[in-house]
Amino acid sequence: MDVLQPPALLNELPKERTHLLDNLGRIRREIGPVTPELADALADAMNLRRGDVHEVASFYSYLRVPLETPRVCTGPVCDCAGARIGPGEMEVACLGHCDLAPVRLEGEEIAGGVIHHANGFLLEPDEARAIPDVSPDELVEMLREAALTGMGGAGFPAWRKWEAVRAEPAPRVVIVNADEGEPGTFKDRYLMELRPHLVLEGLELALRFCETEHAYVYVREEYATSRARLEAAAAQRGLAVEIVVGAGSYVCGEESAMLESMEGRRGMPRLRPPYPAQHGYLGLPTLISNVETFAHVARIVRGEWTPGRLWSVSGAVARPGCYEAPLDVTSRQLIDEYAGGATGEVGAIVPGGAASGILPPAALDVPLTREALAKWGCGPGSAGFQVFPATHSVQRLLAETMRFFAEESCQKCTPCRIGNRALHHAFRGELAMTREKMDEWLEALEQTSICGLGQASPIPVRAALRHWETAWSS
Amino acid sequence: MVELTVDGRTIQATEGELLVHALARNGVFVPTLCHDAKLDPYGGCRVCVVEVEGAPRPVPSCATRVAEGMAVSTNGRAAKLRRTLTEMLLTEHLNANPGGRPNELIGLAEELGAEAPFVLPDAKREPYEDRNRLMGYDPDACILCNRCVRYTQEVMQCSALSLEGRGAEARIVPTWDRSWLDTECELCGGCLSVCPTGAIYEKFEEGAPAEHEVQLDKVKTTCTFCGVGCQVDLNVDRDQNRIVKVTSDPSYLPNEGDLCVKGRFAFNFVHHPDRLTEPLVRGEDGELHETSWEHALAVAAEGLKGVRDRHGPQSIGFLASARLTMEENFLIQKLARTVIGTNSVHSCEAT
Repeated sequence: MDVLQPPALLNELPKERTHLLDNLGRIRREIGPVTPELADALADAMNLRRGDVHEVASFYSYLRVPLETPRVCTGPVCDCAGARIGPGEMEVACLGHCDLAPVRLEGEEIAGGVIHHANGFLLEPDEARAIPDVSPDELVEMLREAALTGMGGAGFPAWRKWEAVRAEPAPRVVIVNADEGEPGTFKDRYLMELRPHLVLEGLELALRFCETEHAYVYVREEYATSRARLEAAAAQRGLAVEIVVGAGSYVCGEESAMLESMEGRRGMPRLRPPYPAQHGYLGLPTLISNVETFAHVARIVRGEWTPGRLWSVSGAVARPGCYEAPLDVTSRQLIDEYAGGATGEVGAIVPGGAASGILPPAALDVPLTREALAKWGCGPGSAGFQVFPATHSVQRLLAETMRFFAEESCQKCTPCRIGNRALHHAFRGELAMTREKMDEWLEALEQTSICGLGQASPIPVRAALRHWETAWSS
Repeated sequence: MVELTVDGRTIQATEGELLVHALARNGVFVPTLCHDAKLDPYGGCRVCVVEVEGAPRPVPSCATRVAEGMAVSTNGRAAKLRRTLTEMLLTEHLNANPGGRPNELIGLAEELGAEAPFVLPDAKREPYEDRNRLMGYDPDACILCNRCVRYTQEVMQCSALSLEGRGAEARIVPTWDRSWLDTECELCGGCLSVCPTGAIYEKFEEGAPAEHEVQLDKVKTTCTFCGVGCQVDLNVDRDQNRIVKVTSDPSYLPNEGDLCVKGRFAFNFVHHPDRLTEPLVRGEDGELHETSWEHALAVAAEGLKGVRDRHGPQSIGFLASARLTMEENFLIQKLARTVIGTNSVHSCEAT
């Protein structure tokens, strides 16, 4: 780049810092990978410190990588399905298409195309319906009666979150969290690809509930089709919604990290309190809910809802896909009654995304509820249900899981930055760590990490150590 | 004022005060690494965690405000976690002493009896070399507490250092890995003054022993470079009777421990052989000779008066040094206007 003649695009880009991530993404798409020279020119054009742009540009995985570089998923399911990195290819922790494993992304296209195996409301016609007239109090009551919890993984009661935002003074902000990134989880992609109107209907209900027009969807970069379908549906509805595109970072799905990312800083989680409901996007009271939560809210208000959730089913099953099933469905039912049966002997099950734990075959008939799984040291998490064959080593599964957390750690807090790396190396056999030391470090990870990434990453380790104890005794 | 209990004892604190400060004032010392009272609370290193009744997890006392009725426990489980966290930091701390500055992490480890149980296989960071002659940096001594970066952003408001990348790739480096000389850095050395491990260090100290700083005598004085009057500590090696480096302390006014490149690094004139230590006057022989201040001033006054008498007051102008104080500048213009009779007065601070 000729520093005296920066590309014309730079002068057309919006100057507000909240557009920094988006501007960097546009530079990558329209000019090329973000180089130090381009980053400096952008900083100058936006009147930001060059160091601030350096910090942000280097935080995400993709901004400095050419658009055409093929991306190969090495998430746990793709790894089990034999993913291999070729020369000139980029390794990515998870591309969110585990049902199609092994997955490769070429530009914005999934190699081999995308097919959907689904059931239930995912397959109903998706039409633009006007939202019914319900008062805020009625809506809270409906959510409370349905006992709807957030579908992102933490399982917080939805009505409480919504009510907390409404209790704060206007103006308020509503954000749809579509930064689905936990390995094994792709339900939000199915929803956005198949039922974008249903999701936006839920968003419109939230906007009216919060008496605001400030609507955002933060969607991960890998979901180009989701983005296009949401944009088309929003245009059809006449709904003004700003779509923020990520750039490759799992932790930005954590709501306070998402706010930092949207405000043009590194996606590092904030200290709490205050919570986003009090002090969210640009300091305004902010409602951040998962894509699926919005879809459920729309169905509850329509009166079409039946208790249940969407399970992303992948791995060693005949028909991997996304299935609506009851909350208390068992692993065996999901495999046999929804996903066409297992393709071989089941060796291990991850019930709800990488941080939810690892179950042995003995737990096949345990209902996948929070209470029942707690007895097995696991949880339903984001319902990213993955089946691993008996031929796949649990140690390898665990090593790959910890690699994911180590690579995606924002690095800010000591336990998450260092603890996850040490565990990754230990399960790869590159580091000798006594069981006693491991327990100490797991405790520190769980107790002193800032956000859910580090607090939850001990769950799969502890579950595996417990259920495969003999395998580790050596 | 609010009242809280700490390890069973009742203490008082100012509303809104950070817990770690309230504890320290009451004689309960909780160690910190990433905390700096000058900067916004960060809560990154986590070694200051304490237990607070009702909180789901231990909280960082450096980023938690006191509240009425708070029940805090600083020992027990929190102490054990602190030791584990210190241990963790040691496993990626490959170089404990790049430039002879004190290392708070090593001090903390010794106090807690923490040792690295192993070295992380990916602890080695990409090295950094800088051609500037004042500051050096070794990424392998950095614990990513981010104090230096936050200092440049929050105090200096400049773009000199960045926190780059994430996960194992994360490291702190001058913007885009350039030399500090090619960034907005003014080489004020503020980053090294806040670095808890000495990862950023004064270059002239390279190779100095770790206990170097503690052997130096600190002589508090006023910086001579301008009229601000920053308070500094000259760190003097008594054996050699030389200034080794200049530091400042956050408790000093008016600069609160901040210095500029001159105040921190430009002290070598003190020991320079060309430095004038006595007034000199040129004699009949054309050579400069040492003399008394009275004689030197009389010669200068006579010379100036001679010029004024021969060529008029407008033939003389006064150029004052940037090192003068406001009061000294006032005296200069008084001299120019009332004694010589000219308005041609300037200070190089204006250019």
